[in-house]
Amino acid sequence: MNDLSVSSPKTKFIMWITIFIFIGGTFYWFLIKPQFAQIKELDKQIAVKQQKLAVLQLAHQREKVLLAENKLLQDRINELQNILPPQRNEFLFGEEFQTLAKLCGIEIVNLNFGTKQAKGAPSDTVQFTISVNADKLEKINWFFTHIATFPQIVSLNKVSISKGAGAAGRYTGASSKTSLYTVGANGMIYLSAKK
Amino acid sequence: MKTIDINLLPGRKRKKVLSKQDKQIIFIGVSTFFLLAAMYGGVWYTRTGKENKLENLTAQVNSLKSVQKVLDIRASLGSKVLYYEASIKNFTLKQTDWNKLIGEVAASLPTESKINQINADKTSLIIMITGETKNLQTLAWTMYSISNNKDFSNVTLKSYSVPYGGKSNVGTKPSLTTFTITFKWKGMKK
Repeated sequence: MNDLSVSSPKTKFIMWITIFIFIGGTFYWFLIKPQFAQIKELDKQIAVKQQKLAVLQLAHQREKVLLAENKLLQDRINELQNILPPQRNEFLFGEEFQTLAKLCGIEIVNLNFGTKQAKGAPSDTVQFTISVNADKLEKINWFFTHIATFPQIVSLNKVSISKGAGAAGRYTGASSKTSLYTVGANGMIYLSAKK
Repeated sequence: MKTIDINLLPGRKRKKVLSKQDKQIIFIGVSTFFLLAAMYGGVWYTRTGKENKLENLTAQVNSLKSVQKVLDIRASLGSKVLYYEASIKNFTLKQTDWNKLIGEVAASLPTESKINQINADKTSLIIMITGETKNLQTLAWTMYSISNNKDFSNVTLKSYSVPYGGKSNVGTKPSLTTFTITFKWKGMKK
């Protein structure tokens, strides 16, 4: 029969082994395991830093090229900002419409830049209304062609084209039979959302 | 004479003899202690080594801060260029070719009809044309030819007016049938 009393050597042996296992387990759990976790985290950070360092070293070798490329990119942005300006510039837009009118041989009767955003319109736009007169339909065609190739991106949302009498006296060579074409439009000039 | 030896010196303490099992327990305990100490030491050494390596790398990265700045500027400029190019392309695609509309309307009309007004609204996507034609028959042709244009849909004759006057048209300008037609055009996108 096995002697399992506390004083028996076998029980004592099992008890001590259990105590050692417990101490070892506790030691591992509270002191060694967290260090393993820290090492894992450090390995990750080291990998990231090594990668970053490799990129930086490569970039350091090509620094002159990068600086030149940055200049090219800045020039490209300046070009693109002419098409998609970061801020509204009514004076410039007005001038451009006047130039367009001259090019097409049309007469701008009314040009207004809205101060408020139209309902449903994108927030980075300049709203405008324009009315133009022309004695020939082809001038109206040119007007629309030039609107599409305006220095900025212009979108006309409401367009009304009407034909009536009344060109006489307004245009050289126009007789009482010459029609007067009128275009009324609401539109917007797109601005850049990145300022 | 018989002598008796009496040892009056304090007796030597009897050395406690450890049993084999006790020795085993002590051996296991000491081994466990050393094993744990070695593990801790190893892990601590590894961690410290890695910390030093990370510190060293951080210092090297920090020494190249100016290069990092160049790269940051490049990333910012690159993303700006991408934004501008994508936005410009996107906004340009939203533009409507109004000349195409005029051309398509003109091409769809029979010679007997003429347009006085075209109204287009990108919000409702409706095009409204107002014009005049000879009579009801030519108005029907107008409707038919506009409906036949594949780029036009939902063609509706909104209103029309046929002059059935009692007055004679002889010697005066003939009265014309006026009409208003609405439709949707494929070329107009929101």
